[in-house]
Amino acid sequence: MHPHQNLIDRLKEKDQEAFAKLYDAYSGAIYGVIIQICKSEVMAQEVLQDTFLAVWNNAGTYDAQKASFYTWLYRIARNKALNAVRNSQTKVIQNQESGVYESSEEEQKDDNFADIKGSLEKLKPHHRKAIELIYFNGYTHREAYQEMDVPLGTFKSYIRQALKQLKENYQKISILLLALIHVLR
Amino acid sequence: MKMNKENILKEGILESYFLGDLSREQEQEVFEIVQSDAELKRQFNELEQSMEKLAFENAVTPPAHIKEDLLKIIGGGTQTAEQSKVRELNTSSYKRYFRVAASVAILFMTSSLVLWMNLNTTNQELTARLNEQEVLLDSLSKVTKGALKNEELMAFVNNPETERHLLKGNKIAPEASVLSYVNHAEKSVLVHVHKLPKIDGKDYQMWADVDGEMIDMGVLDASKELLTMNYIENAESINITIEEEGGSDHPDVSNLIGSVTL
Repeated sequence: MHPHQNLIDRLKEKDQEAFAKLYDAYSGAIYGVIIQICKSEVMAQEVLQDTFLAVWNNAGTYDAQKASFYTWLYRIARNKALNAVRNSQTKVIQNQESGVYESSEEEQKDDNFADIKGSLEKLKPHHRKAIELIYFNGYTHREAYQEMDVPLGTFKSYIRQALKQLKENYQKISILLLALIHVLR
Repeated sequence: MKMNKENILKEGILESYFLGDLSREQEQEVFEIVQSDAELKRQFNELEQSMEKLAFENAVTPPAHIKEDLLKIIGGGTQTAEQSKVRELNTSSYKRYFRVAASVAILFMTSSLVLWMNLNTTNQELTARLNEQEVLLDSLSKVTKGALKNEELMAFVNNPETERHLLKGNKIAPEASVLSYVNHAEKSVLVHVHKLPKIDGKDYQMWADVDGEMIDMGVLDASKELLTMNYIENAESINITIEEEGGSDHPDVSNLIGSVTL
């Protein structure tokens, strides 16, 4: 059972309080992902707002059997962020073609957003890059292996190994906790 | 591409499924396969958990106005939402403290119970081991005593100064056979009863003949094989008579069953 199951059920019934609580619980995590894809705070804020509006409007379609709440939220956010990035790129190209100067989202991109923390930091550089491209930058597999300049098969094995490593890291933390409880006993 | 468990795992389809990159049809197909395969379902859940943790590790707090705007848009109005938030925060923080306290208490109780049960088991085991040890020590001491006895006996019997005298029964008790070991230096007599037929209400008694006078050496306990008898100085012979139960002060010579000269 999901720890927020009660809130999710209430959200489906348009309970604003539940929505606010779920926002508090997930907005930071999902904003971190969005900001990595958009590389622009202004754009990321719009995407975050759009994402949670979609959560509010489409909560009824969420099916816990298919995916966790976070996965559902992530899919919405990733889609919206990728669309926003594509739109802004089209705008830049149009502006360049028409010769009109306009401060674009592109120019506001800040490389500081690329600072990745936590378990991802501990991965080998190529594993980490593969995960970053797919998960945080919203690349498709095809775009990502071309970006990394490796064969698709190799890229897929990077992803697999990276995920395995991440899982093991998280398990290590769990084991450490269990060991601690055991020692305290 | 036809989906199956193998290519879902090998081709990174599970990841694409997580990302939401599959077409609607493919997504439905993968969903059905994942639902029907416990191993795939487990892997997908682990992937979801890893990705969620990754996101929380890289969380960035968004500006506060986004929440306010959102609550305005969905029609709740910021004030009521904020008020309810404050109220909830208080109760939920109490609840949280209560939960933490309850968890700690449960953990403590559980560990105490486990410790207590372990202690009980250990105590029982210890008692059992101690009892076993006592029994073993007892047996050991018996064996040691027995061994010492046997050793002493062997030393006594093998002593060159120890004389052996076999006393055979006469007509009265033809089966009787008693072997006496006499050591004058140590002034001790040991008797090995080979055979003495049991007679109800009577006992066999051993006498030493000193200048024609019979002196009591003791009653032969027919139930024992080896007996220590009284050593009598200057005895010329050893004699066995049948006497009343418990022995007599003077021998009934008519009931003499055997004699051996020293």
